[in-house]
Amino acid sequence: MAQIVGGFIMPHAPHSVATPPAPPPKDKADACWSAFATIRRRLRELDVDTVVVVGDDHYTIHGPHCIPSVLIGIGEVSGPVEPWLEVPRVPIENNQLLARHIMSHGHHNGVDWAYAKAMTLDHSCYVPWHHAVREVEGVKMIPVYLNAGVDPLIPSRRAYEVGQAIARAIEAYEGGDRVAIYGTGGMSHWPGMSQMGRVNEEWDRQLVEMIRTGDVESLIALSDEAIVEAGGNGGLELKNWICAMGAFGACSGDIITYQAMYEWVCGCAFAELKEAA
Amino acid sequence: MSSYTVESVLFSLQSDPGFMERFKSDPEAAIRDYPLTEKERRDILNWNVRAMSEAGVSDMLLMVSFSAIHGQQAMPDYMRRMNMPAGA
Repeated sequence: MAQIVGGFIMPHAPHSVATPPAPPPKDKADACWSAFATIRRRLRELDVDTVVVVGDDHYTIHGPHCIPSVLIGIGEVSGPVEPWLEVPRVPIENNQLLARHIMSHGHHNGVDWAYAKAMTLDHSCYVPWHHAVREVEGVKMIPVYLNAGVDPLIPSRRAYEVGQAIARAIEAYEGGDRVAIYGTGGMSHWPGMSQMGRVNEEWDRQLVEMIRTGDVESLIALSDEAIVEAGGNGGLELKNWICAMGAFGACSGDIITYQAMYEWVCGCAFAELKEAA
Repeated sequence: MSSYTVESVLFSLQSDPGFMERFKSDPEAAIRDYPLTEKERRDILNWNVRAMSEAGVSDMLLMVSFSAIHGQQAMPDYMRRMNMPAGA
């Protein structure tokens, strides 16, 4: 039987791949590189063969003609779509059988997944793959997109339920797959807004504490308006973490590091989810 | 809502190279057939990003489409425009 054996929270900051206008302080950047290395090491220790990466489109893949609330990539995957990430577009190996099973299980159990038979990832799913999957031999990736970026947004409670549905689907899968789930993005940042470049470190640290204590209900209780006020439109990406926490189940979070990365225009938290005691 | 139509124009600017080229060579002609109000048409042509933001257009899309037309190096200009009063 397939099982979820790992869960991680991490940023998907595009300037961790593309050259930022100014380089971040070395000690802060090194803390982030070390955190990605820790996650890669943990994937090997946990003998993970598939990672479900939860990201959100930045109005780059999906246009006004069709904006899916929840989408899973069940076929060919490549990335990144953005040329300004300064890396060549490459194919990314998907676990197509498990992806299709998660979709189908959801369709019969209350989640009307949109699905992509072929998709090119934006940075929200590409960057975590680039830093925290690519180098780990034999690990496939299933991309999941929640609409945490384009209003009207997926409700946070629904993001949690989708995570739970992913877990139930994986538990019902007959393969022996060992799966990790990544909740990506955040923390405070204001892409495209008048405050872009600001990082609200105090708010970020409040969220880090909610992750540390596994207090997903407090994350869900934050209204979208309150999130945008304190953490910017990019703060809404905490919905991706909520989804991952819903999939992982009752947990606490081992905080790997938090860094306010002004040069990457966001706060960056890295954590490993652990089963609640 | 008309802001949806503005988003439709902006999305095409950053995703359809042919439309982008038509816009660059003759912006008014490129958007002529979209059902926009006169103000929306003016805001797009003048890149009044602050006004469009206040009308409910996605800030991320504004940034990405501005950058697609003007280049990444124009982000300081985008931020200057975003921080100007909408009527300025």
